[in-house]
Amino acid sequence: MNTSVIAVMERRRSFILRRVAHRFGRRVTLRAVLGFVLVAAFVAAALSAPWLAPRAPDAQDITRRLTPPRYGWAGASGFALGSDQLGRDVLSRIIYGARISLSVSALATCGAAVAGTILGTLSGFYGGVADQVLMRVVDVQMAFPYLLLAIAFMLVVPPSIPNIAIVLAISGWVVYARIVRINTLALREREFVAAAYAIGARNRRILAGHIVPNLVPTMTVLATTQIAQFIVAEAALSFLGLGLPPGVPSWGNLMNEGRQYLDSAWWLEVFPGCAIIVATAGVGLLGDWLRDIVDPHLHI
Amino acid sequence: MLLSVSSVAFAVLRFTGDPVQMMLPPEETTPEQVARLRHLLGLDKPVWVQYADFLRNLATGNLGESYRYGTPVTPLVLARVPATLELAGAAIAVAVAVGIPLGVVSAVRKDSILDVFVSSVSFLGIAVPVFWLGPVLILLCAVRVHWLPTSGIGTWQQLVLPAVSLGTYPLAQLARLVRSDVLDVLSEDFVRTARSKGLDERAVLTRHVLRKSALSIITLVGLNVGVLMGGAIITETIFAWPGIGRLVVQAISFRDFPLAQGAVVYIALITVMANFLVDLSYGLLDPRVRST
Repeated sequence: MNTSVIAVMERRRSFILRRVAHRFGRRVTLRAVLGFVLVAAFVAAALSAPWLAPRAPDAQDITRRLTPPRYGWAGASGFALGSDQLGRDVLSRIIYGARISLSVSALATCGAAVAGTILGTLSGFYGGVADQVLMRVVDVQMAFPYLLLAIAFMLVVPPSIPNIAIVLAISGWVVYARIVRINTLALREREFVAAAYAIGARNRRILAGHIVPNLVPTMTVLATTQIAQFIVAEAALSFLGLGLPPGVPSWGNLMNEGRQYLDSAWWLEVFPGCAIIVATAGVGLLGDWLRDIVDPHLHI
Repeated sequence: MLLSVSSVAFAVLRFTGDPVQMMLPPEETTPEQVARLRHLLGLDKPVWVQYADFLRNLATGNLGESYRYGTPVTPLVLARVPATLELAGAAIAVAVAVGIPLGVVSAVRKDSILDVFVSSVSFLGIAVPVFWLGPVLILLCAVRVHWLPTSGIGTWQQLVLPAVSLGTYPLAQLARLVRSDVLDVLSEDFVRTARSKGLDERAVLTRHVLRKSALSIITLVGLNVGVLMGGAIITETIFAWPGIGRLVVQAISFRDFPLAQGAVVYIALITVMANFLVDLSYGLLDPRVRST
């Protein structure tokens, strides 16, 4: 085999990894640490809800309904973040809500990333009529406010965690398709792809071994941004009464119920919102940091 | 473009259930009545015939009649458009009027306390969802102290809270964008030239620096129109603002297909037109674009 071809192939192997490792080393910022801590708290709350929550999320204590928050961890006497109209502990419901929020947003992001990446890669790599059609579809869907699309879909399907995740994935895959397609177009012209062709690699091998691995960093950044978006979108659907059934302690449902007691029990509205802000801010800080490392000029 | 948008709207809404079941309570109606209403609404025809009818009507600007109100859709939707445009315009105005100065100030005083403050605020502004900000603003400004009304439309006081809720997200984005843009531009040669010929700092900023970043500001505002329209759906619901977003939510929950389709077509139309205006304004702002 021609030695210069081998040299180019070697370069391809370390192209992305070296760039990322180099930047990880020197760019651990305060914001990144803060983001990591917030995300860790969010994930920990979701994973260990049964141990962390002071009460069961649906345990009612009707004699002490709408108790205002009292400080100190909820002991026998108080509710750390107040109680709702049925005397349920708001803190416990928020902690359980983290489970719903995390599972919906993670599932939806995986779905959107996989679908968008497959379609975007194939479209960018092969081009042709399918590419034209796909890009038209992407353009049309970009013209729709994606919340509107999700609202319309939610009226068809029964509300459940997998269904909401699917609806959000359908509303969100275009972002990947568009950016992955552009990146694939650029990668296809790189010398390591030409080198792979030169040694007789087939399309499939080039896609799996050369194109897709180089898309991973960009996709990770996109996925982080999108998780934050989906946390908000899931809550927005519940807030409009289109998400999980009422009574399920998702953050949006908590806020939707709390809105009716806005003038008498502010804690029902304010604290679940704070949970959403903490989760999205944490994910957002991590995402910004990843973007600075991977590709500072990426526009989403 | 609009054709595809309206076709998607048609397809999605067809899947969302049977309007006849919503309109007639099943316990009190006979199958004959159901069949007659279906025929009256044209729902007994095959779907592709319905679609052809829809397209033929669309081409002549006729969006059909609302099932719920029994009147043509276009005037119903058009009656709501000004309210939404007013809300979106006010939100953009808030974002531009506050976001740009904040961004400039924090770039000029980089790393000062003010910069850290603005950066944190703009970061929070992006993380805060509109359906939290809206109720909290109501709580603070309307329930606790009676400065502003909680909902409704008509007076400028009623516009303040919805516009601030909806405008906060683009405001925060603008502040971030302007900050990083101005920082980039401040180190360019033409800025040094402008300073060295004795222009005062204010003139340098407004005439040279901001002029350069006007393009990205306009692009961001254009990109945000879609987001604003989505946010308007929630904001209008919270503040009982009689705009097109609230109309869509109501129409969908009543399975009022023609009305929902019409409203969706108009929302898409607004989004497409806003992006068209953005493209046009490039030519006005940047002479280099004009020739191409």
